[in-house]
Amino acid sequence: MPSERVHRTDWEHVFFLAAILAFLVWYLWTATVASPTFSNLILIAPVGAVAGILLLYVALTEIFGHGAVAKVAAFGQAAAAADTSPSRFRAGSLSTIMLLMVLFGLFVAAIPYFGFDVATFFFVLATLWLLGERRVLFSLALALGISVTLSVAALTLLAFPMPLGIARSLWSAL
Amino acid sequence: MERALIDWQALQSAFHILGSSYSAWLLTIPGIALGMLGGAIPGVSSALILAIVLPATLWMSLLSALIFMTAIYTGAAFGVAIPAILMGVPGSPAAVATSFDGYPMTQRGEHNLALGLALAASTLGHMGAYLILFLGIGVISHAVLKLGPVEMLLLMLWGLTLIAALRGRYVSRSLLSGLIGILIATIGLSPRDVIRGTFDLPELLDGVPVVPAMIGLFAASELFNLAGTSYLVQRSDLRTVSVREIARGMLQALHHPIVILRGLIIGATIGGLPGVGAAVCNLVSYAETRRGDKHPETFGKGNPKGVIAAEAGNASSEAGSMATLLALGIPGGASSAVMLAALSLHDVTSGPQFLDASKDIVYAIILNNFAQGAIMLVLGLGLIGLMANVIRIPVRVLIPAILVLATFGSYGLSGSMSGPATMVVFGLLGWFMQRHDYSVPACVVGLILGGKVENALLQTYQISGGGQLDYFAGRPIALVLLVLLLSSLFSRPMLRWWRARKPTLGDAPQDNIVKSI
Repeated sequence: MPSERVHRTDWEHVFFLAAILAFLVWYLWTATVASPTFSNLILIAPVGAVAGILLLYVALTEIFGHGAVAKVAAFGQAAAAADTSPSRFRAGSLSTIMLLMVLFGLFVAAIPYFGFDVATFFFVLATLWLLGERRVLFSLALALGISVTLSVAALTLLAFPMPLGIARSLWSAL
Repeated sequence: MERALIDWQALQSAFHILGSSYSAWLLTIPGIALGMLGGAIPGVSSALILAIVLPATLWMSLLSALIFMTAIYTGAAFGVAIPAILMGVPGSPAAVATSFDGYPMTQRGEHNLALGLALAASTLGHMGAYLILFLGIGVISHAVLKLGPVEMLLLMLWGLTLIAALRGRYVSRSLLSGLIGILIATIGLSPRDVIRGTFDLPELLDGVPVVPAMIGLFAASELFNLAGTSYLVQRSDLRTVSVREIARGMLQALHHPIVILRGLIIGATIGGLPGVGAAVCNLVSYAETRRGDKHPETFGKGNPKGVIAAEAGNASSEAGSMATLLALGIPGGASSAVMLAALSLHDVTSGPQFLDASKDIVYAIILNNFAQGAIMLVLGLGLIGLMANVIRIPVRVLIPAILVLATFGSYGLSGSMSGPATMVVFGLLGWFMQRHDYSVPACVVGLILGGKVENALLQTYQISGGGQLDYFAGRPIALVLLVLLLSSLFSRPMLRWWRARKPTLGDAPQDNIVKSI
């Protein structure tokens, strides 16, 4: 098949590998600086070395072709297995996925400032809207229901005080 | 001194105690239900539920308290499998291997079957392991004492070999995932008090919180992927909940007695090792079943044997950890540590003396656990039928609900924002790994076992006087474990190589006949 000869480098993958390499180098360096003893590096050094070799191999095959050729060759089998493999990409568009990630990050970042209850309410509402739910009353009820249920659970079950916006004062008033 | 396998007098007394203790029986059913429901919430482990109910056990008798707690333990051991199968979200490390084949089965619309398989394997594993405990509590507790760091190291390495088995499309990428997982597991204060890779964050001194990281890698990344789809099971005709199908799955599990037996032996023995726990049992049982199977390539794609092996290994670890707890007073994991606290609330110190003096109570707990297995079977059939309805909920509703629930669970586990923050970071990492065909399960296995391996490696190095080989020669159990480890790794490839190299005269014509057909 002529398509098997075509090689296109997946630069996103290369950047991902660069990020892993940066972590690897930084971690091995900080660990060595912290204590360059045998006992400190007994596991880290060999594991890091093998990981580094593997990483270079994957990066080289991605940039110079073997990875891409193997990918094209494996495409037929992968497509056949797509409905069974748990790690396959679904239909979700990249922009929706990215926005969901941003929303989730914002939600977790907002908890210490606005409280878990308030952050949950707005996160559920925004996510429902992003994923296509347009029934306003249903969305409001669900967001409120989840927020109230988990706030009560946080107040009664957790041994640690969870940051809560208005739920704690409402609970004390009750 | 020769001792009888079963102390009949104590056994008789145990029957008498159980017969007259109604409260213990009344607590069994709510205990199992509580464990099952709690375990089904991602991030809520059996240890967390046990810690919540711990103060309440103060008002119970010792037997009732222990039975209530083991019932929660039993229910949770199966409960964690429910989200692992239905959503690919293992509620705890103990169900990681369950999701490998359980979730692909759900995606094929075989969720009822997978849940049935898990329930039967869990029940049989639990009951079988308690039978082993019943027959050999003395021997087990004696054997556990003989295991040192080198034996623990070999067992951990056994678990780590699963990384190689969990390969996706690219072996190199899967191995790289596993190694990165091991390195991440070593972040924090090392066993030699060296601070590594903490970014000067005090929250990371204890290491990366494993459960929130695992939830991020599995759950958050998978939920991101699901954005834009309508239902977990795409075909509407497969989106049904059928108790009949669940029951069929339970019966199907009975067709694999060797898988269950292997799982329960692994669980009952490895589960007894302090600090090892159900997660290793779950992984080792899965790995051994996959390795011994004629079609290992079908594992990870929805092979029912994968679900059975993982669940039998996980459920049977409870009996192993109870043996260590009762006979030696050493908790095998977080859950049994809470049980140890319950014992101390009743002014009881478990250990060899307790075992000797209160054998009737130990037998009563074991007997009640046989009954717990049967109760779980009936209760589970009703409850999972109810819980399986999750596949009928639109994904747009599931995604925010589960993300919020997982955030709540990870906060509850860590007691600070470090849990949810870890979940976000690992969620993103998991998504990129999936996108570029890196094995997420391999990374999780490395993450779970990395720190433990380093600890055992250091202890072994020190005890052996810097890796002196004659030390290992004096450890027969270690040598046996080494032989088992090597044979489980190399027996099949060697056999294949041997067959390929020396085709027998009798095989060749048969092969030709088959090919010609």
